[in-house]
Amino acid sequence: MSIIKTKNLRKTYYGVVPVNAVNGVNLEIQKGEFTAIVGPSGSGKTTLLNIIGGLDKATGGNVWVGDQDISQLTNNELIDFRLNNIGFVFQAYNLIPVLTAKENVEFVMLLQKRSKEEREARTKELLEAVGLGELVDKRPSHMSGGQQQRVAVARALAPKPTFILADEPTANLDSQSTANLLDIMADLNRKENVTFLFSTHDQRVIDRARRVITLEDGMIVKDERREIQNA
Amino acid sequence: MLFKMAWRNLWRKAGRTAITMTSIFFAVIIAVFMRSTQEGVYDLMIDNTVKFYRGYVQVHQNGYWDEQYIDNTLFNEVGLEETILAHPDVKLLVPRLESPMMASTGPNSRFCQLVGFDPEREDALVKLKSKLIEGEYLGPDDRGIMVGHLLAEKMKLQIGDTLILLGQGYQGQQSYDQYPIKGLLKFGSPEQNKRMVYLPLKEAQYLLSAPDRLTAFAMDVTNRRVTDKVVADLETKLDTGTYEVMDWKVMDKDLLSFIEADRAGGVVTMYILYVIIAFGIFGTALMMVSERQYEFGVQIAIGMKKRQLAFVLLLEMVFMALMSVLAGSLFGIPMQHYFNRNPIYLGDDMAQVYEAFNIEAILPLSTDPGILIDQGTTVLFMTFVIMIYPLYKVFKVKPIEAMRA
Ligand SMILES: Nc1ncnc2c1ncn2[C@@H]1O[C@H](COP(=O)(O)OP(=O)(O)O)[C@@H](O)[C@H]1O
Ligand SMILES: [Mg+2]
Repeated sequence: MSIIKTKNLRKTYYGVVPVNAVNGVNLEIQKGEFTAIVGPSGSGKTTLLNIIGGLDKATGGNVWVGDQDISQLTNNELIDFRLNNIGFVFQAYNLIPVLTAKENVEFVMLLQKRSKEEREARTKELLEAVGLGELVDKRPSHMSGGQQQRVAVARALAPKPTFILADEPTANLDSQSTANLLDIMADLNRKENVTFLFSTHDQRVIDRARRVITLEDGMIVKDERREIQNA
Repeated sequence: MLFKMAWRNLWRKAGRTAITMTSIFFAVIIAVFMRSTQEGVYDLMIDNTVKFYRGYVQVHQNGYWDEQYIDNTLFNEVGLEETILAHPDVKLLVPRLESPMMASTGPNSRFCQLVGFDPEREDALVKLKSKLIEGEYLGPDDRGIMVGHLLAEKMKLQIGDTLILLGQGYQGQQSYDQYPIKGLLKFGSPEQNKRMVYLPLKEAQYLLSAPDRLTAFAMDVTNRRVTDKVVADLETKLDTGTYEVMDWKVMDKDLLSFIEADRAGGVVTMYILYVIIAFGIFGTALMMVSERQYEFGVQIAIGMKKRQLAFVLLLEMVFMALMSVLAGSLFGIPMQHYFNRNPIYLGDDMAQVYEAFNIEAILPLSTDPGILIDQGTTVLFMTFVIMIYPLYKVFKVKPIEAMRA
């Protein structure tokens, strides 16, 4: 069974002229996929990810996560749904500024009311997995952009979500940090079978995706799968 | 973790938080100072006219207070004193027989107020011995008088001189006698210094042809707040057809209404201070909400509930208000006590004005901790009310819009 499925998904912004930001998207993502949504600026990537993530409402069509039709959920139910099912990584400033790296990761598990032992063990494990075992007590303002994004990935994984949504996670990073982040994501995908769905218009990131979905004017124009060595 | 977040958030803009806190701190201090001086002056007024003169509660013959004639005096029957003193809140019972008289030296005459008094008990209530500035304090069986020093001065009398007292006694009897001046008294109020004449009770009853009669039993009670209860209790124990029981709030209506009016007047200034505090908190809270839109968006996206966000923001403001109020109290308590012990002297001009109210021209601060507690709870309550709008804005945050900004 697919973990994400959309049917005839549409989102229209009604301005001076109506904009069909997402225009009839049918999409299925399986567990363990490592998928990039690509397309020029304004093609609808952010809008699509926001709707799949339950942050935005579609104008038409449906989104299923597992067997849950999320268009049926109220705003409050969506908050809990996001907490337990989706890990988010945004372009930048993902972290709560007054919390340390460790606390940022722990925080979402606290919202899930997990036990202290579990929280501490998992936080440690995740920060080590993203290569930041040393920075646990640093606040975001004392970390580089790349380090912050890695903490964001650790935080996204902490609640054991069904999949991770990342909207242009490398947009603000230099090439070294970009490569580094991609290594970590690919590693988690390969070893832990974590499902990633991310958008990008950076060719170096596209090159590492195993499935590339191309959007243009809110429509899927290409959907290709390929075998790559993501070592 | 939410507490930790609130605490750290507070210090993200440490300068601004410090400024807001300082303004609350000073507003609290000023408010406490104002309220304490007000209450301090009221205490002084009440002490001077009530506690150290009239007594908080009095028992009279029924009808005496409205028509203060010697014929309306009460008969001190056997058992009356014991009945009153049996009340646990009555500390002291002081018998008096008072009457306006004419004081004369022959060529020179003035009105005076004769007080037939029990020397020991009167001293216990009004510290009369301490008011003696010349001569000696009278014993219960002495045949002599103590007079206010201004009375003696105006009539050019000295210790050892004789003063004639004349007036109307019980049931229309003529009262007339002369007494040697044995002591001069100095009171806080000039009015008393010009009028008072103290004569031991027995002698006064004899002079006024009113044996065993009293105008009043004045009493001291455990504290000012129990007077209502004492009055109610005594009214059930005593025959209210014969006696009337009154507390100072009835007897000194003018003083009470002056205090209440003055308190109400101070309210305006207090409101101005509260508005300053309110704007400080409100402005700070609104800035916090608008500065943090992006991170609110992220936090809601990753699964934080809006009420949790709102709780953090409210906590920040409560921390801020609490700390300011606490600092204000830490400073306010010593301030109250210092100025209570070392009252501010208002200067000679004010002294004349204050004489009209029979009080000294000093500003002692009340040490009533209730004033601080009132200020503290008011500021906290205000914080909650002020936060309604900023919190409402938190509930309106939409994550994608917040993050786009
Ligand atoms: N809130 C909005 N109101 C109106 N138009 C919007 C809004 N958000 C996005 N759009 C429009 O929708 C289209 C898709 O935008 P977006 O999803 O951000 O694309 P991308 O992420 O691929 O750059 C663009 O034409 C954009 O201008
Ligand atoms: Mg975008």
